[in-house]
Amino acid sequence: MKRSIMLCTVFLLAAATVFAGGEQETEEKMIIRVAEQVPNLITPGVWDGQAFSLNGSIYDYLIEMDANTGESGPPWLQNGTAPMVRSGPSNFGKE
Amino acid sequence: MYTLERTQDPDIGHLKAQDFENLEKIATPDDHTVVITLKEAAPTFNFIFTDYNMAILSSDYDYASKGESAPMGTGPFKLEKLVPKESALLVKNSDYWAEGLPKADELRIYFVPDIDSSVSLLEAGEVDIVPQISPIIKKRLESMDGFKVVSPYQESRFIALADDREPFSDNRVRLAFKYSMDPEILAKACQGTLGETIFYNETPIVNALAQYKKIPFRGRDIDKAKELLAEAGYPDGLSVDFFYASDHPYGSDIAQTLKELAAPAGIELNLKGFPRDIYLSQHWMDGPMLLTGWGVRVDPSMLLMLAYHSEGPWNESHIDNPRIDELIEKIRGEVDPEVRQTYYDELQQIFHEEGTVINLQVPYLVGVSDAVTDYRQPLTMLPQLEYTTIK
Repeated sequence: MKRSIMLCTVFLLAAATVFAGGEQETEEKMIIRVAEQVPNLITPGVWDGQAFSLNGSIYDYLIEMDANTGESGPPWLQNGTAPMVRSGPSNFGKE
Repeated sequence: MYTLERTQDPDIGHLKAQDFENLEKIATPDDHTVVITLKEAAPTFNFIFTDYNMAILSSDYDYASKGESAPMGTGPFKLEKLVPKESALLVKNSDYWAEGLPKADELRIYFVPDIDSSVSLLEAGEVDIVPQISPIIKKRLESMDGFKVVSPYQESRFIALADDREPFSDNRVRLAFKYSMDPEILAKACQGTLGETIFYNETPIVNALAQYKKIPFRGRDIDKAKELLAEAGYPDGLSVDFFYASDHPYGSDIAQTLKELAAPAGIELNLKGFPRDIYLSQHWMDGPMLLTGWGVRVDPSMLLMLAYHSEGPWNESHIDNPRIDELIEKIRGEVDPEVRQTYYDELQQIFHEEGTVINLQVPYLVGVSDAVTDYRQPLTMLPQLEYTTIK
């Protein structure tokens, strides 16, 4: 636990230099904060050459699935030429 | 066009090189239309674009010299500042194609390689979202006020038995290992219930997909396993190194359980657990037995080509089965869904009889604070944070 607290402190101090903006700015903006654990997955490293990593379109998809309903997105997904994805147990643990 | 053309650049070694070999020509008749002509029929071709390594890139970007130091693309957020291995600040892309999105102004990503530290940050209110938590942490967060756990989909843990080296190069040894399994116990080790939250089969196709063929579990049969080992030349049992990521959710629990299940059959697993980055960079793709986390591809032929075709770039079990190669190629080219399914069925039957994988499917778990609303993460694995809001 001590190690975790120390690591947290180090990360927050380091991140403060990146996210410096002041209390007032933080209150005005809607900010999503994510702790990403996967080493090298979105930092330069072993995945070089795959046009992957932290590309701006990493959050951009052609297919959407609503985690609440299990229904998949665009109509062409349902038109018979595409593989169908069943809803069901994947929603385990959903609030 | 540039995004597609660069997949064929031999200097890049793009993971999708094989998938896009089928391109005959690409045309852009206007600013918002791309017309792709294929050499051969490929009814599920569209799905290749959903893979996470198919981000849209601009030809203006000098990837060769900049790498990922100044990312660009078409997404809802733009990178403002990146400190490698520490943090990244992304801001709203005001030119994003979907009107009204993203809802948040900023996305702050902290690279925290330790799950306990990540959860401590969540509990302290310093972050809002922690992906890839373990079932133990799930229980803890659910017992506390102010947090919830989201499980948007199942993901695979592939137990890969290398086809090109002893002892698993002999199918009788692979079968012996499979006969020593007990899916119910594995499900308990993953803090779940078989058939409800945990799924098990011996093919690359996950149970939730329509292409899945239901094949009854062969049953745990230690005598049969010993008999097969003796036939394969291991009457006194065998010992094999088993590599896995010890800090990946479920990793250590699955590894320890496999060791205990296989021991009575005379298969001793030497557990070689490493932090995930070490595992992926130094041991993955190069061990007689591996445990690797795999995300589901919405079209399974993408995964088959990637990991189970003899020429697949991520063929971690080094499988080299001409009939499986042939079936994968037929699946990718068959227009009739019913005929295509017959190929899927045959492929899964082959995997059941002589395959190189056990596919244990576990819930992907994300810990979030109650302040988070509309967290979405589709089967394509990447979170759609453009919809997410913070109260």
